[in-house]
Amino acid sequence: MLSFRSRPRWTVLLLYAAAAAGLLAQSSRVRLSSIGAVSFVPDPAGPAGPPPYAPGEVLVKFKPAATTLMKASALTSLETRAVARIAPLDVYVLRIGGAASVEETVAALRLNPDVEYAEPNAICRALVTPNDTLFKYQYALSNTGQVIGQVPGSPQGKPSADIKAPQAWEESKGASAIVIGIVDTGVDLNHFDLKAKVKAAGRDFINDDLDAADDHGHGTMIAGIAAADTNNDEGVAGVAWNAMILPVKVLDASGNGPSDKVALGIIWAADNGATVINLSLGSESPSLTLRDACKYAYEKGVFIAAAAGNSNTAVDYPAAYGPYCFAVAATDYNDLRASWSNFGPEVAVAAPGERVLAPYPMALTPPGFIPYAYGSGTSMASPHVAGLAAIIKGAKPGLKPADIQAIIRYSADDVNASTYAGRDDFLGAGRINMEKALVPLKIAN
Amino acid sequence: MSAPRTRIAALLAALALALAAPAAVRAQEPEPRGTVLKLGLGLEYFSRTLLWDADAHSSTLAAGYAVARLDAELVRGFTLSAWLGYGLSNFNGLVFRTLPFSLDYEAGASGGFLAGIGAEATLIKAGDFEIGVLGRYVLSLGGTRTLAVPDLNTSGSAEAKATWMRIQAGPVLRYTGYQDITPFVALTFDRLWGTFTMTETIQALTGTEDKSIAGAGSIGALGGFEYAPFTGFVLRGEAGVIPFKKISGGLGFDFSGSLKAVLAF
Repeated sequence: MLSFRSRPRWTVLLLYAAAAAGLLAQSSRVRLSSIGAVSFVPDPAGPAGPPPYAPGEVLVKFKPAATTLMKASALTSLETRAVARIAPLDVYVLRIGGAASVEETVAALRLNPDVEYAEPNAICRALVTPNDTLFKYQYALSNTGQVIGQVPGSPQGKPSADIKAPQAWEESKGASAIVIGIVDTGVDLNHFDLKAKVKAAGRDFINDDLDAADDHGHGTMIAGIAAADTNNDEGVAGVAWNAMILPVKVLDASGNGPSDKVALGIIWAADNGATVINLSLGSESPSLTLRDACKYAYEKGVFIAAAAGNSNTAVDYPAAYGPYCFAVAATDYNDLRASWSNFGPEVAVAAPGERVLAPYPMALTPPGFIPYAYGSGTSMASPHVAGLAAIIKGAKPGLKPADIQAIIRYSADDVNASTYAGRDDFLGAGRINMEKALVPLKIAN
Repeated sequence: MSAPRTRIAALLAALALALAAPAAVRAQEPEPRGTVLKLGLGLEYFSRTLLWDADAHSSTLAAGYAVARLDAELVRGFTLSAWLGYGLSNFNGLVFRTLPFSLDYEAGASGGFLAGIGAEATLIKAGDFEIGVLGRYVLSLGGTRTLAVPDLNTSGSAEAKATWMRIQAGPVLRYTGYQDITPFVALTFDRLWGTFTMTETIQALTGTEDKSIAGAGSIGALGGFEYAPFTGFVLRGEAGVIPFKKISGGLGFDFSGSLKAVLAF
């Protein structure tokens, strides 16, 4: 049953009323596994992120003719003091002691005829950090304790409560030969943060055509979380930096779809090049047809990540169909279990699912907003796992789905160990850790 | 990388030595005499840059070993040698990326047995100078080490085992003008290759990676001396250098050294 746990606070909320209505009418139908609300991203994209340079610090190089007295005089007059010197370059690191800003101090130093150059102490970032403009809000990939949102009142995450994506990307960004089947409501094929990653127009089992465009929004978000165009100077980064997306539409505009369509979608994806499938959908009702479809894909070597569900009850189907499906529960930006995340022995791992930023169909985005939205649900958690599976498969093509499941499970961080040490029914083996799954483990004596 | 090249070089070296034997006899006539056997002990060390994964990555092998050797001087100027020993090979920095969980070997030196054969022959004598050839083949059979795989939420282990071989062959120039010391230099074709096998077991998850390794560079230079302070005893010191092209660009050098003492009887 869908439930709406978010309430309008500071931005537009789109409620899936239709989805809820459809669900109530046909509870046996498969529905999406988000918790029913998305919040959009205002345009322009809010306040700036972290400062581009070290606060209160300036770098200065004096001309060779400048005497020690001249240098000291210049620094004193600007209420700065040298805290370090890069000897081979004869560059001083200055700390500003007064009220002047970095910009003002730099400007003043540049007027000094004894100064060769002065500049802010720019913050360099690891090259692997993608340049996507909204990456700073993607706590799930890299949680620095940032504010997750653009307006006052937005929550703040706990540093390192993330899946360690940048560290893992140092080792591998996956392969473009790996295709993630997004079996969902379709994908916005023209979204500027997705179109370069969409392998084909896909298959629409709802309208029975070869155009899996998204008339709902959910599938676009899922595709973006798993594999948005990364390092393209805009939008968000996808977990699977290099993997491609194969859209398969099996849920209608209200976010519902019958099990037969979902089964057909799974089979079609497996038959058309997907080596990973994400199922951010589910139903309380078991379906042997769905189980058999998952088994079909699994036996073809396809890894299936599936959302556990959002009703704080038993794990939904098909996620509960292990070992064919890998059931994913949800954590939040503090590495805590999301209160609505389903639980049970089938839960394999967890991933961030609370307030996850993702692309949203451009045609469905209200005026004044950019086509991105925050969503919550195990729907949002599952594609993180699908993305990781895609990178693993890209790096090690010989691995079978069971191997990939084991890697993701064994490398997870047991973030609720203080209350449930070891595997538990709420977070499974724990919140996934891409770094441990991909970066070589150092074996020593 | 160059297994065929290595095999060809080995064949050429063997052929050169085979041809050298009668030439050595002619060069040293007369003084016919029986075989002289020599027993000795030696210490050797070398550091060698390794290339692996299709030369995409490199690390360093540092190996040190102690050997007992038997030299048989069949005729003056032609010696066959064999040696056995035990040593340590340190392969730190090898990374195994095709295992289910990639592993970075940082476990330090592993023990292993070592065996070698060699030959050295003098071909030409000209005044105080001698020109000859040398050839050596060394095989190191490392023991199996079991190591814990860290950082996972379940226990796991990895078994590591390394085997490497090295061949050296090339011309030697000796100066025999001093009474007790004979300095020499050599230009050698010098190849090192082998396999490091890593087997990972983490619950039901298993994998094995056989990593082919090859020493960077293939032409080296040796320099050294033989010091014979009294009859029947020889102390031989040797240092070597092998230049190689670094993956990151530029030239690097690997070094080696050995010291052995031999008693004739």
